[in-house]
Amino acid sequence: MAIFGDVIEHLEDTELALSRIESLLQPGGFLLVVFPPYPSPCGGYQPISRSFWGKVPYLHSFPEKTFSWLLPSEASQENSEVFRLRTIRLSYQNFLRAVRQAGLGLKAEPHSLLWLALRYRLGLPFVPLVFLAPFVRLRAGLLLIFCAEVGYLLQKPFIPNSHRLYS
Amino acid sequence: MRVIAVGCAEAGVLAAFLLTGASEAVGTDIKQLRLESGQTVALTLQFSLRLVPQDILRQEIPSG
Repeated sequence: MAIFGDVIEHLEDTELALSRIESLLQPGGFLLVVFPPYPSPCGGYQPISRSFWGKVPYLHSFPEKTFSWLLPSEASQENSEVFRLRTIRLSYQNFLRAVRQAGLGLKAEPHSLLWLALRYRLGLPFVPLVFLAPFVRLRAGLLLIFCAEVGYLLQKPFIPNSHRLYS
Repeated sequence: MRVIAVGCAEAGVLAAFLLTGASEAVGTDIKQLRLESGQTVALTLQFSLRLVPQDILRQEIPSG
């Protein structure tokens, strides 16, 4: 079993990271990936910045000029990391594409309303995103922007490339 | 079960896996300092962890 906990969104090449881990797994072995997708409220990792603007959710969806004016990348090491993540922008679609390329199968994908590390630190319950569905009548794709963190349980197929035959 | 955590920092997640019966745990991280503090904690609490400094995109994962 392999784990990527809040790591994959920092890597420039998602597919390379996944295929390196895939080659290490035994057939049927599991890979757990947890990350805040880029479109999520704090997906730009702006809370690591110490400035006031870092506390504003969705700030990373602002245009480049506004964003760099509010959070200058040269101000601190944290800010420059926030800017580096702006170039990676790991979204659901990009991640799932890399999963397919790496030849991994998708077993489960729970979406969490709260950032998981924060949830454990504060002892809060797991709030699955499906709870919101009856109240927020939005299309599923739009609903995902409320999701702070997503987990994917992936499995290396017993027969290589077998998931491609059936999907 | 054998577990590897990439970007494990102080390897808290691996410790939880060892407590629930994992047979072997390996952790890698790009930051040597965080692995060192993790190793210190692991030694104190007598967890048998193997922590390796590594950048997954630029270096091969240590096998074995």
